[in-house]
Amino acid sequence: MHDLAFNLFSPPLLVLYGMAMLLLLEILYPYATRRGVRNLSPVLALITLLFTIGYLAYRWSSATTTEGFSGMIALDRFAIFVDVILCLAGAFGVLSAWNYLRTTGEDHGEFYVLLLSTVFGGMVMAGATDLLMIFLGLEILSISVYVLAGFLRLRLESSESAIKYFFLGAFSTGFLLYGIALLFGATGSTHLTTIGGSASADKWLMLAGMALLLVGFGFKIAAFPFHVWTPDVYQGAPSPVTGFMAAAVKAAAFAALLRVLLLAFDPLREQWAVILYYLAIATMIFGNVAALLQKSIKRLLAYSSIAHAGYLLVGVTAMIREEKSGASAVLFYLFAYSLMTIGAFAVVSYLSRREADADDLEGYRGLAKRHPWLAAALAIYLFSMAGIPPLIGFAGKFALFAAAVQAHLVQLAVVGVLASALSVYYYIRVVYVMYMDEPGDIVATASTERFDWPGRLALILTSLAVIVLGILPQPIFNWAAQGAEMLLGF
Amino acid sequence: MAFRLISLTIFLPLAVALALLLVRKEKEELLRRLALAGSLVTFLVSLPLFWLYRPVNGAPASLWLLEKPLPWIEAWGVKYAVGIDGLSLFLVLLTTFLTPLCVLASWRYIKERVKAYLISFMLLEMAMVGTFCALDVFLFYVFWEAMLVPMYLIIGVWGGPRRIYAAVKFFLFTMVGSVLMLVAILVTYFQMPERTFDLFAWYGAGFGPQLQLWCFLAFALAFAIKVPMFPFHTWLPDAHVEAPTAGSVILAGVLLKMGTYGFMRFAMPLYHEAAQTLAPLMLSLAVIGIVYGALVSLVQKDVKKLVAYSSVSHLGFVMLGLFAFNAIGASGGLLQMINHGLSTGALFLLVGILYERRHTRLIADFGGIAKVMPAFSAIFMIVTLSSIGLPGTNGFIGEFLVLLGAFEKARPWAIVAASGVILAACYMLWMVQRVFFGVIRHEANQKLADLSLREWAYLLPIILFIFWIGIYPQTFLGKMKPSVDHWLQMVQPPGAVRVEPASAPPSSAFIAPPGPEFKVD
Repeated sequence: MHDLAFNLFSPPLLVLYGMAMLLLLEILYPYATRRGVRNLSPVLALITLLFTIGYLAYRWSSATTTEGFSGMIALDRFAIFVDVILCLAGAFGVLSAWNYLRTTGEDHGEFYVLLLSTVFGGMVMAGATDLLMIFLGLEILSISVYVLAGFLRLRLESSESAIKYFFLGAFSTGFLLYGIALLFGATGSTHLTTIGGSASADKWLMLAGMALLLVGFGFKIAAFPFHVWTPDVYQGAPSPVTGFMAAAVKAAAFAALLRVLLLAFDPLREQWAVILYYLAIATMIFGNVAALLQKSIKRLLAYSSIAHAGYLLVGVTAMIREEKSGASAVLFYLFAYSLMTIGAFAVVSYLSRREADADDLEGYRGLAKRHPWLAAALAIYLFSMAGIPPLIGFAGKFALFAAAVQAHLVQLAVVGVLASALSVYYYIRVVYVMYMDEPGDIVATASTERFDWPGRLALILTSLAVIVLGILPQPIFNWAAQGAEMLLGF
Repeated sequence: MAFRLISLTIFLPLAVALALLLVRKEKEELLRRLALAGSLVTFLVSLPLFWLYRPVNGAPASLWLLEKPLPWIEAWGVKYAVGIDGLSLFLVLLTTFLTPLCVLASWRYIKERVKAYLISFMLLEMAMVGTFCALDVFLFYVFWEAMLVPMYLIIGVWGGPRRIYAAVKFFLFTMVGSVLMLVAILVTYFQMPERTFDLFAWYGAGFGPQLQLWCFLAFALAFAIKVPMFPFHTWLPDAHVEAPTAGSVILAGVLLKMGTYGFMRFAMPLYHEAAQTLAPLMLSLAVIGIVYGALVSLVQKDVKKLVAYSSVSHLGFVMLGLFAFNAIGASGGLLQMINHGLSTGALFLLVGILYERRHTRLIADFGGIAKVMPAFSAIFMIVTLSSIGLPGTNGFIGEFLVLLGAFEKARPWAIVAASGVILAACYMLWMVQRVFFGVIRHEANQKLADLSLREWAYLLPIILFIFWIGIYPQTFLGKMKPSVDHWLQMVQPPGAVRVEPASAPPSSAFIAPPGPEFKVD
């Protein structure tokens, strides 16, 4: 079993090379000495990510379920799909952070190093076929995100966010590790399909291990009742980081969750489906109710991201009977959610100033008059999150709830659509604040110091994608379906 | 030559909206002219549909004017399929007819953010026409929901003092109903032998009683909120009172019809057994709406609110006609949809004219207006009489047919409903008396300008149709009749008495997926 299949590990390695390059650049040419080429770090990060996306696309047709490094990692279409989401999230994160970091006076090349290492960790998770590998990826991803959350070291709330995230994250990792240990005790292996081969609902050790694993994942995807860190961390972290991590961490964690559930816990379907059924209901209801009265836009989006985790869990639960529909709906929605949420936080980043992020909803009053295009973009993301057709969020929710109905979980779908009707209230509240209110005491306007073309580019690309891929979701949906199919082929 | 006239009608407003997007927002006059020209062209483009649609009893191919469906989202079997029949033809024409009038009516009234307003209006028109033409359930749902956003903005940005409350209420009410309909659509979809949203295939499949009951209830909730039927009507007065004039016209004229049309096109034929079973409930709600709406109108102090509540009453008549399950009632209900769009649309336009001059809509602030605005008063009187159903105007034909149909199949309800006609005369005429006659009690009313040329331009076309339908309804009923008969066969349970079994074709003929002979060429 000495299969050093670097071939299967090449996409994450590409990101790793890029990251190493950026790190060397920081050491050889410290940031302070290269005033003239300040854009070098973000440009290199972008090139790395785009090149990786191109390479992933190239690998699509030759992707198989072969495992490498003694059953540690695979590069199937499922992994490729999630990798692309991660790289896209990273690329949009770079674009929206570019100017933001200068405005806030913390423009250090390390930011892009950490961003790439987050993407790397996520990609390891997406391809991991062994619990230890998942754990490794999760740690790389998490630790990088902890630092990114505290990147604005002079801002108190940023440090607070990092500390909170770190403590709760470490706590959740404990659960995860304990779960892995119990599973190893029950089956003598950490390899997913090996566990799946000897799994049975009679072993209490197995059930306990699965429950602990679900708790660990519950923290990472911010499912109720493991969500408590989310609002504080999302609010305190720098806005481009929040958008990036909301998308990337969710995508990686859901990818690992799907793989674990389908490969290792296939015989325990009844058990995990029951747990996830109630988790989904509680998460959707809690997230949407808590978001109703938020006065801070970042907290509002944080609670809404909890609600979106709930919708995604509907798709996961649907896998009890409809593995393919459920898994492909989850993949599609992860893609859709990444675009919407990164876009929304890119608007917040765009409006942020040196002193503070444009977090207070008060500041958005009358935004449509000051920044018509910005307001229109935010309205598009929010309507998409609310699931209004023909935007991509609608196609995503449609896929998720269709999977639930197909799996005879009509009640779950009903709770889901009602929760999403409830969510309309707070999304359109932001829209009316922007379009129908007059400016108040606090006014959020974009800094005019420099032309923020990367930010604009991120906004244009994401909002166009939300519209166009909402009207024509067919290609993305096909890829998601192929990814799900290959995951089931293990 | 495959000429996609229906698609052109749907998407021309979108093209106009994109064109408006390119004009600088300071050039307000240009924007208005462009929108007017665009909406007029859309109307002209939609007009040939009237002549192209030539239904013949016994020739199933002639019942539909269909475009060749295009594949859209193949993974789910979603197609872009549009077409019209006798049910939707006049609703499409009503929409394209009212939109330019609305643009004219907002010429001076909308002073702020003209560009955004006109773009919203064009997008709204696209969504409305699309809703009436969609023959793929997914496509229908997309248009149905997409309509919410521009309407929300129109009420919320350009509305009255409580506009935000009204806009949010409108959005949330509609949304709650719609999402449950979405689940019902999904449940039905997975009952189909093949994965398709094709409405013709759905018509052809039979569904179990349990499924029919729940899905009908979910569809009915969505549509009943839109109609609105008692007790789901509470969003309507708020939305109407706060919306700008043109918003109210479109809301009353077209949006409410989306609910009744939804019943006719989707809820009743798809789940016809449940529709039959629940007919007493629906009839009762319709009649309660008729009487309740009329009684509440009677005590309104605000003219616009009075007209808004009268809509609840009028739409009750439409529902009564549909749930009578006979040809007369259904034709009457269908015609009444058009009538209400014209009369109530005109009433909102007229109230808007008063409001522009006096900035009030309270009945108590007027009196003796007929002396200073004779032409305006005459037009108002005509529209009032049409609204209360005076013979010779359109309202009479519609209400008469509805009551006739209901009397045959649902006598007790028809008897109660007839009182609505009398009550309508009470509240409308009493309002007219207080506003237009008597002495002028307010100094501000002494010098009010009569109708301007622009106002004549958007009122006269409506008056024309009020009399046309009133005097020679055959122009309209003739095109509706074959589709209504076909519709009846779909909603009637097997074995029930058919209206015209000899002349109507077997319904299975319509179930076959439309072939090339259905194309608009």
